[in-house]
Amino acid sequence: MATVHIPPQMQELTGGRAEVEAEGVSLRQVVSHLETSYPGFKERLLKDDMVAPGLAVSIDNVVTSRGLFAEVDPASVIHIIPAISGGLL
Amino acid sequence: MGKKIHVSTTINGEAVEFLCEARQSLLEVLRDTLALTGAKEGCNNGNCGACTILFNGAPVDSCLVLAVESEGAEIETVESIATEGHLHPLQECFLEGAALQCGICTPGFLVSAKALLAENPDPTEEEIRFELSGNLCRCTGYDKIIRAVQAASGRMKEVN
Amino acid sequence: MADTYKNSQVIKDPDDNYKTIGTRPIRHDGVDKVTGRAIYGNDVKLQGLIEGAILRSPVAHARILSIDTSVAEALPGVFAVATSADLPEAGDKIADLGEGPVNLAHLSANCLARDKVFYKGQAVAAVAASNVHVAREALELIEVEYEPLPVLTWVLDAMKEDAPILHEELRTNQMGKKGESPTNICDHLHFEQGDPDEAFEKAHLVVEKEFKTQTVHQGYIEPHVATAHWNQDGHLTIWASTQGSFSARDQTAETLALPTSKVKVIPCEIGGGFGGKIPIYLEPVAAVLSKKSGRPVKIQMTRDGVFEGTGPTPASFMRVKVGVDESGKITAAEAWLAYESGGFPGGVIGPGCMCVFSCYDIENARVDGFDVCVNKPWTKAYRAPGSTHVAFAIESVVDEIASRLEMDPIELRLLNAAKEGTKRVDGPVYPRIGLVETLEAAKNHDHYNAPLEGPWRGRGMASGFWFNIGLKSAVTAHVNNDGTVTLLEGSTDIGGTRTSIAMQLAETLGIAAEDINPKVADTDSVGYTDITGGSRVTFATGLAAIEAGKDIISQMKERAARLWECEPADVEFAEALFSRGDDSISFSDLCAKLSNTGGLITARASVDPQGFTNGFAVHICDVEVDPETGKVDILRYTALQDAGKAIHPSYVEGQLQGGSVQGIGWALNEEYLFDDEGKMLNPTMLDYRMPTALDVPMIDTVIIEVPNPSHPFGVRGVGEPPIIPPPPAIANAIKNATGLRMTELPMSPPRIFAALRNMENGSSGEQEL
Ligand code: FES
Ligand code: FES
Repeated sequence: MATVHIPPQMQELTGGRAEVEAEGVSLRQVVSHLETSYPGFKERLLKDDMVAPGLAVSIDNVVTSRGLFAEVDPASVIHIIPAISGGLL
Repeated sequence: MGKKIHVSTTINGEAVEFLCEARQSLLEVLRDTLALTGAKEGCNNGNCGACTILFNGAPVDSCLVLAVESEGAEIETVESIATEGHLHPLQECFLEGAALQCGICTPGFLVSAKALLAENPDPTEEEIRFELSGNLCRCTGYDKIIRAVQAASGRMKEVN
Repeated sequence: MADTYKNSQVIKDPDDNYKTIGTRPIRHDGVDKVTGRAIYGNDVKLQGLIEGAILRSPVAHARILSIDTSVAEALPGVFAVATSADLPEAGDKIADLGEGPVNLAHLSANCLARDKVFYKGQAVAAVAASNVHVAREALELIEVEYEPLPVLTWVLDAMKEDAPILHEELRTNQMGKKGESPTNICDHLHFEQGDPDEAFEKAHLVVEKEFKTQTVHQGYIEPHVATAHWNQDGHLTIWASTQGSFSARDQTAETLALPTSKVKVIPCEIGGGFGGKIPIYLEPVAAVLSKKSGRPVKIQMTRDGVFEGTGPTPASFMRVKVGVDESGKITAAEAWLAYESGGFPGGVIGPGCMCVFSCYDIENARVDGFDVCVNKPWTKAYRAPGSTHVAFAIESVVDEIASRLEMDPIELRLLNAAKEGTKRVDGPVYPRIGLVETLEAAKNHDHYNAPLEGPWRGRGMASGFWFNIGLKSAVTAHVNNDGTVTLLEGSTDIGGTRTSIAMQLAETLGIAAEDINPKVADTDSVGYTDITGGSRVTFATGLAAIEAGKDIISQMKERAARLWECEPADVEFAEALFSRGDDSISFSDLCAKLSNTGGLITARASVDPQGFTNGFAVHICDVEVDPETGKVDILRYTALQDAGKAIHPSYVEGQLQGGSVQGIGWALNEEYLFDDEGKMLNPTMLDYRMPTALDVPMIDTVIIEVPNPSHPFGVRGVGEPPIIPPPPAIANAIKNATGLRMTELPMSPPRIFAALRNMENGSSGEQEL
């Protein structure tokens, strides 16, 4: 199971838990799995079936640009962080 | 707008005649009418030095000169610094010393530095900084520009 | 020219033995740039070209009741007039244009205002005429009726409950959750780890301070300029001065509701950007003027247009609190940050929040960040956007702690430095990074240990962090029969990257940098490439060049195999020589045989490296303060940085020096001055006071090479980190010189003078905000 770190502002979705576990070989599967355990998660994280503008996902400490297609393995550690692209450059 | 005015000058050693409006700056005529786009426009009000040319031997901001004022004048632009297929030592030293990044300020610096070295072939760092303080560069922090001028001064003395 | 580099030092990775990398060849575009022949945006000449000018709002906040362009249109010499009515309605669409999400309605309204203006200088209408003088005359004939609205010019005012609202539809976004009521706060970010409250309670010493910074501009010397030709076949061509030709293409296509295939951007040489030439301003306007007039149209901004109408970096208010134990170990930290986003939502608070504690390993920390609309220009990226602000705050507080604990400030930082495995406050963990090595190099540097004597003199230091991004890059390489390679790349070259990319291909192929001929290609001629920004080009486009080089080698092995009638796998390649047993042929000799062994070779690569390359800078500076005037002179300055691997050390030094001087300008003089109506009082380069050659000393550099594991040569981005440490390093030096703790930027003569007077009159030496 991958470990997903939930930022404080999203912890209302996970009943206050800062760290949850989810299964999947891709971010898409992980998110679907989370949605089953924590309804509302998908709506918050995604827009038009993509990671919502303003948010980014880091998998094993590497921010991915592959969105839901990013690969995840069972030992992965996932963080949801703000996208910094708006001002990154 | 009025009628255009006829002006005769010497530019980079050649006699040149052009027609201009009274309100046109020399920078505008050089760039737009005469296709000498080496002088750059950064501010159009005399603050950045990107448009520096030699006017009767003296460095001036060509955006502040009306084109009609150049009647009878001798004008040199960055296009005349390299001669007969050879770069000027200043140009060589700017390249070797990486004294340009984006390069938009470079023509102005080259012209100002050429005028400085003509006046004072062996300037101190302080003198170079003073004489070039009318030319803004936002990319380099000036370090490599100052060193390139110092290096060129050395190279020109060797040649002479 | 050995002399040229006497103030720079490279601390090399002991394992490297490169042939081309680390040398200092002349840049490929150099001769054109020193002879005045290089074509910048404003040097474009086209048949039938006419010129445009932009009408800008004279007020900072107003409803537009009507625009009458009829008199302007009738002026002889005027070809076309444009207003927002000529741009398609964008709706509320967020588009990802390769450099982060952009709200298209805002992007479009920032090019030509729709029903409201949100800052003075916002574009309202445009004219194309036979020349710029006629166009400007016509602007005066456009009648715009404004209904003035209350003006907000300071972030904290705009956050108040009863503040006038800029955008009725705006709701605060909290990581995807929208607030309920209208507000000027676009974003609220919140990070937390550990238990900061408890840790503060237990701390041996807690220091808390408030800081303020003002709006600052990138200050590139070349104003924005764009030329557009809308052909009768429906194809639009743009000659642009942009940091990203593909991003400019996509932004233009979206604002005009055109398919991207109908838009081609031809990148010209670009006269500086620093983040400010990522967004588009003129391109769609020139395009509609061209469509209406049937002529190519060029628009160049005036300098005041650049200051007032483009995106500077925000003013900010920050509160930072740090707690340490007796040894100086930081046990708790807290930051409350409010940045102005300007007239539209979407500023640089994100990276501000993520950078504030990024140089430290802190177990218990909390960060709150707010991005807030005010009636000022729409803020945009400026070199390490958002990071310089927070560095001013945190690095000043850490300095204060060092002096209260009577510890050396570098020792204190080494004790707390982030390193491989440190968990950042936003969550992720660092890979191998070079902060400790950079701090050690600073500690051992002659500058740090040299005596500094005399009254009113002081020394300070500070560190800074920037992510340095990857993103997408593509190159195409054509191998020529004379042993050279033509390299097409999509990254616009603002500071010598043609050469730093070419050198990486040269190293891969074992040939000379001069034998690569790099060209920046237009958007129809090379694969998609993200912007030149984020300190990414030498890293990511360099990666693409290396990949293309490997492809060339494998294709050429096949040719060698054909010559020797063997299997390609049997052919070896090393040092520009192909060999098999006793047979061998040089790279260039094999090039000569390509033509009749199957034709000349083309290779290509397109990459999308993930993650950041993480750059750290440490600066040391000596100042002298003139108590009579409040003026600060920089006596000596040293910039140290982990570059991973310096491909062309001269241009790495140039980035360190240029970034440092921009930071010095920000620290000491640069600021937008506004009146209460939101009118900028100093929109010229004389009054917006950027450093001249006379204001700064030589900038000594030390490049530290701690190789980046995600690049074959170890490259990290270098462009952005050097702007970050100067404000706090100088503030710390001023404190050391005078006892005065400056907490507002810029630390300009009037501010220092007033603070010194206050201190004389018995106040604490703390600047009053
Ligand atoms: S354009 Fe002439 S001084 Fe700036
Ligand atoms: S090199 Fe860019 S302004 Fe000087």
